Amino acid sequence: MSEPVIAITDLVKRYRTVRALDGLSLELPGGPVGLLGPNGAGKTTLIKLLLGLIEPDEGSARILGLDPSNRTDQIELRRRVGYMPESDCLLPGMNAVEMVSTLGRITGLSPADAMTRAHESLDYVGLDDQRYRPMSDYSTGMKQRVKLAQALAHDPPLLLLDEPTNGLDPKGRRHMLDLVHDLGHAQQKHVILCSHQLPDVERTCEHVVVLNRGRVIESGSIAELTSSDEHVVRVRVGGDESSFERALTQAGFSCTRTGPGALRIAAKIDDADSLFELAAQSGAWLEGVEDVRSSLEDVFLRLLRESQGEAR
Amino acid sequence: MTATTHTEIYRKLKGQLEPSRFAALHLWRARMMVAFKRKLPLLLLFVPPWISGIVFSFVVYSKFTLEQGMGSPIPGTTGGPAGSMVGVLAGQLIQVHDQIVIFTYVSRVFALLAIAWFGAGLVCEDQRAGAHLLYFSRPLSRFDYFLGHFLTIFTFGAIVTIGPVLLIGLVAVFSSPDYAFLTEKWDVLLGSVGYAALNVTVLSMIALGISSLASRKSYALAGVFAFVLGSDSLGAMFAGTQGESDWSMLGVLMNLRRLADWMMNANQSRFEWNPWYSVAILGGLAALGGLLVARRLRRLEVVA
Repeated sequence: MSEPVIAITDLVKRYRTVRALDGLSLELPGGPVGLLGPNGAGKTTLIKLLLGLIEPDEGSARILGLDPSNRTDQIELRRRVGYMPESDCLLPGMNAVEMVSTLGRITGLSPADAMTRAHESLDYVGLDDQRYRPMSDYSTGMKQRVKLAQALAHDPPLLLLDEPTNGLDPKGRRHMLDLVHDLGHAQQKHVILCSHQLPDVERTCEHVVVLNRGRVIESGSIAELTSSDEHVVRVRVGGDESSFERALTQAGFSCTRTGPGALRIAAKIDDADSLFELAAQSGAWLEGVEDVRSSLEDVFLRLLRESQGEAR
Repeated sequence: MTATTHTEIYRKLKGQLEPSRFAALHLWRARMMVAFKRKLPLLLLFVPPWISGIVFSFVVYSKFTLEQGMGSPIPGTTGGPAGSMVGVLAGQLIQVHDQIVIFTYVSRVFALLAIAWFGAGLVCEDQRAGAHLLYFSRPLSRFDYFLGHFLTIFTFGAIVTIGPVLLIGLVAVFSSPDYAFLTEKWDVLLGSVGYAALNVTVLSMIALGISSLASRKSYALAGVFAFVLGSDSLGAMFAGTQGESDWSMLGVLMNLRRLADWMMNANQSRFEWNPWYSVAILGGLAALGGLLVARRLRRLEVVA
């Protein structure tokens, strides 16, 4: 197994009396990861740590093999991380090309590379001629795209995207999520996506980390977390539905009709072969079998409830 | 992702990242580029000092060339025609010296205007626009950030003070017979350039300090003028009412003038207090400005 991109052990960060990170331990693989948590959970502190902006009080961390408590590594870390902040941000008086190329220069790109990368990144996020307009006139969607472009200017291996779909209309949101998905999958970037929009995380990430009160309360693949313990499948039936229902009951499966030609059956997806056989024997056929999963939102709310229950 | 145009494809960086040793210079270059986009402030703030510089240069030039042979020797000079010429030259050198000192008095105001306009918004506008979030997520230290902004203000201050002073000095050097101004009055040249640099440094630090306290440029601009001109008015008021010129030490510009007199051996100084007091006061103000900026930058970096 390859070395984790982020490895954090018993990390503590205090702000006077508040423990923003309280013995946080975490190992993140590469690829797109969603970072979830209510306000005050420690997400921002974790991002600052990942950017090398703060040093932990206790514990150790390795991010892309670098130690954020070491000043030299902190600066190096910022060269390897692309950060897209949540709030509006621009460099006063500059247009998009100037802003992205200036930030590229500061990161260490040569003048020619900085300008080339500025245009390539802006092309990628789909900002056309507007890139030469003053950014103060930009719509929220355009600002979000420029923020993503500046994070990509130096082609970093790790991207920290803080609420990238904030304030976007449905079309803009879809476009942004397409970009994030592309970066995390086709471009094989390590993406940490902070979002309150759980469907966004579900759509773009494979892993999720849930924080609460400075601790990790759950970490794992979304597929594992959302798989239901009850093992329910949803099937679409054609042909003799009634006789298929009878056959199911006789075979010991409990089922409920949820609509015309639609049934919920208490069965594992691995039982699909048996279901197909039963359907064929009873003069029906199955048009589709799918696992019924919990949504990420259900999982998130359940984890928070459990975490708060433990805290009491 | 499906590209909607041929351009929406992610391209890998073909070059490589170099160690960013000169991050402050990149920041300085970017801020200068932005400032030079707006031509009217440049015209209003740069043209008057340069016109003054050119006028003073012409006066200096005329002292050496047009008045050759017309001037009278300074009192007490004797020794016939040769002595008379030496006396004329000595008089010219003193007059040119005075011209340069007068210009440096005037340049304090130009420096204040330029530094306030270009410098007052630097830190507060960055914070307002969220630029600090972008800067501090890059390999840019707080010192680099400060240095980049300081160099920006210093450059504008230098354009309106050091530039014209150098012009006048060069005209004086090349117009004087056998570069006499350079050989006889080199200390004035050095003092005038050194004073201009000190003037710009002190005002830049004050402007940056106030900018780091304000939430927007207009407030910072008002703050810089209020602090500098207010302190001078207060000093002048106390000096007038108490009949004691030392009260003028309360004023920033008055202290700068005291240092100008001292550094350029001005003949008619209005102020007589120990110039090291002014060094201490202005040094303290510059240090306070630096502390305010450092405190703000620490917060901006951590908030980022």
